[in-house]
Amino acid sequence: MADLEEATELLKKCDVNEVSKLTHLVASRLCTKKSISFETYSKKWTLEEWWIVTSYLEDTLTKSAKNRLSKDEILNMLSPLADEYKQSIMEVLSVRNDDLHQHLVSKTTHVSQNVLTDFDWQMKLIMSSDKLSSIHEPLLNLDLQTKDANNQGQVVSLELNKDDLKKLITSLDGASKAVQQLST
Amino acid sequence: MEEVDNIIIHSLRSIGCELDDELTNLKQFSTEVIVATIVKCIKFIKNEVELPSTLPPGMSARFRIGASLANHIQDMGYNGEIGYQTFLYSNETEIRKVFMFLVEKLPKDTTQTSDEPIGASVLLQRAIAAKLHQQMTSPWTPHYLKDRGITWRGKPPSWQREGAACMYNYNSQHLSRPEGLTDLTRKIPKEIRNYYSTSLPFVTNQCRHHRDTFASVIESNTAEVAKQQEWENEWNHSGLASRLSKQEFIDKKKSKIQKMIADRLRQDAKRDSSGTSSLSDLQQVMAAISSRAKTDARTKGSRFAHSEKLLFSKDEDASLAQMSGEIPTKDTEEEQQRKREEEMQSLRDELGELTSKLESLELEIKKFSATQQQLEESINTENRQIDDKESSYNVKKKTMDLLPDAENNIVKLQGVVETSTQRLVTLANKWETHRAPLIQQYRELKSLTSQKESEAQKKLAEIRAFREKMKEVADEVRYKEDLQKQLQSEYERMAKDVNRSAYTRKILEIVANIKKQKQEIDKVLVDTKLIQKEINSLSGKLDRTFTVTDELIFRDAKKDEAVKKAYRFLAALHENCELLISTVEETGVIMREIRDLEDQIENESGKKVLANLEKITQDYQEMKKENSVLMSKLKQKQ
Repeated sequence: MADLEEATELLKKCDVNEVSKLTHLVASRLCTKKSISFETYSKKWTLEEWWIVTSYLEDTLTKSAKNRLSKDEILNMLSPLADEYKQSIMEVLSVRNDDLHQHLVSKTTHVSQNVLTDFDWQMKLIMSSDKLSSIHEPLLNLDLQTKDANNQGQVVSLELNKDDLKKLITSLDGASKAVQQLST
Repeated sequence: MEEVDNIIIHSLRSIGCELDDELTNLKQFSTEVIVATIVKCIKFIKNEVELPSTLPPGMSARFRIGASLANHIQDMGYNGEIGYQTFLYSNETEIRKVFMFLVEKLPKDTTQTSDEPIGASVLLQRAIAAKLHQQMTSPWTPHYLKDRGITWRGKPPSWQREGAACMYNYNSQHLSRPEGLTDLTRKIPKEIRNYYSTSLPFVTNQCRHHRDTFASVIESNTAEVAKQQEWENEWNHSGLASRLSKQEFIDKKKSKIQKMIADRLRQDAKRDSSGTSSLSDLQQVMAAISSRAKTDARTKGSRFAHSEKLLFSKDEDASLAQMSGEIPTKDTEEEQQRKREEEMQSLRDELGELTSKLESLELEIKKFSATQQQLEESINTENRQIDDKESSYNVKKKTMDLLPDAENNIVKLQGVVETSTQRLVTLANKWETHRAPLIQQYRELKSLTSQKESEAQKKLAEIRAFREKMKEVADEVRYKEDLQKQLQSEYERMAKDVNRSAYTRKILEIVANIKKQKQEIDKVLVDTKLIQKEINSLSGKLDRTFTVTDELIFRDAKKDEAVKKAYRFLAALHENCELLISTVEETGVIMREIRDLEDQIENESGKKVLANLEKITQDYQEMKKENSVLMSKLKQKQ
């Protein structure tokens, strides 16, 4: 609670436009993990204060997006702030609510411990080797970027030739079918 | 002959001979050029031939080269006369023959490949080979000259990527961009517009790393395309058949999926609540119990609360004891260890006890809840029974009330029954009168709807067919465009061979010329035949008149002396005339011979005999000198 009061106090150092901008930035950070540079705000706040302010904003945004709060509830949550600030944060929330909700949902809908977050592939063509002068076999480099329960990323690299790739695709097809059967 | 020379020179250039642009016919070829080009040709035809491409200075070496060249060409199947002199002391016609032979023998694969469409794999292979060759031949450069592995060099210079130092993963991220701006009729809410205009960062600024921007843009685009395709597919398959508008279809699907998810969640929740105590369940149960225990502690002081208290207090006691024990006494470490172990043991025992208690409590709770359920069910059944009994009681009570005045009541009841039956009959009649037209209407409507249905089905089938056709046509268009592109590129490649059409035109001209000449030759032949005929007939006439006059005069000559003289004159005249004819014929033959000789002279003079002779004598002198030098060297060595 002390943090909350402090944060509201600290927010008063900004004018309304800046608050709305900052809130947008915090929302973007929540969605894409793109960092916000402290430099532009370093004159207003110390680093510690900066952390307090951003974490307060983050908290507010997540709470409202998570529970899909109505307008009154949000206003109630922001009650220690002045009306214009409330209004600006409200606006940001109304615009970004869907994005944030989407992000939170995708963050929590994991089926298992390790989850595939992204993948990358490269085609490579083997021209020749030390034994054969011309091979012409295509090879696929597949990088699976996974994440475990502790948000620890890990990259699993596979090198597949044509047959391996076919096998992988059929097994993935099977898995997808199984999931579909589960859902119908 | 100029055309032939042109063709030869063109094909020589095409196999990579470096010839001056001024050279237009074979007469201008010097010995060096001839030897160089022939060596090139032979190398082109037979790959594994070791020949020097330039003339060596020494005369004997030159001779050897000439001889070996002649050998090679004869090996290839050249029929004409050939020797070292053909190259070293060249004459135009022979050289032309040799070149024509060689040009014919040149492998045609270079032109063939350009005629056939090249497979994509071959093209790729060639491109790779060219790239590798370029990179292999270009010198190494330090990394600070390459901005992220990209350089601008080569011949001709081009952008290329070198090395794998600056590779990174192709990561994509969700990009947000303003939506709905194209539709001007729809109003965008003020806040969103404000967001778009002031706070939404550019796409290039949205990613965590700038290098992901490209990947993200491509990814979002592909996702959009895939979405569109998927939607198209689904709409074609099931959307059209459902006969809903797009929005309705989407809404329906959404609600279906949501319902499905909700069902599943409810099922899972039921399964969770009904038992199968997993780890998380245990945690939940514990949390619930502890919270309840806290609230109940003051009012009831249940066993659980006691135990909890006990646990906490013991813990505190133990830690206090530990702290107090440590400071004043300062026992040996072993004792401390032992103490700690004891404590630990006791705590562990307690924990075991507590967990066992907890388990038993849980069991009890379960039992209780089960009995509660049972009881609730029994209450329900009891309630139902009560209701039944109450209703039966009411009926019975009424009948009991009616019993005392039974006869009257029976009559009344019968009256009621009759009136009700009558009413029923009238109602049925009325119903019949209403029903008939209604049924008629219903049938009509039914047939109408079925008609409409079938029409709609037909239309649907048509739509589907049209869509398929559309797709087919689009595919065809795409295929044809590809083909057109390929043909265009091929055509461009072919256009470089400018001479081709010119050659064909020239060949056609030459053929036409030859035809004309042949016709003329035929004419001349016919003329000569006519003249021959005339000559023959004239000579026959002459013979005949001569013999007739000869006989006449001979007969008279026996009688008259003058006639005898005349006969003699006649014989002399005849002889002289014959002599004259023969001399004329002879002069004709001689004239022909003279012409032949003149031709020969021309030919010989074309062979540059004099110049060649001079050259030969020079070369001979040189050879002599070389020989003498060699002799002197030999002598010195001896």
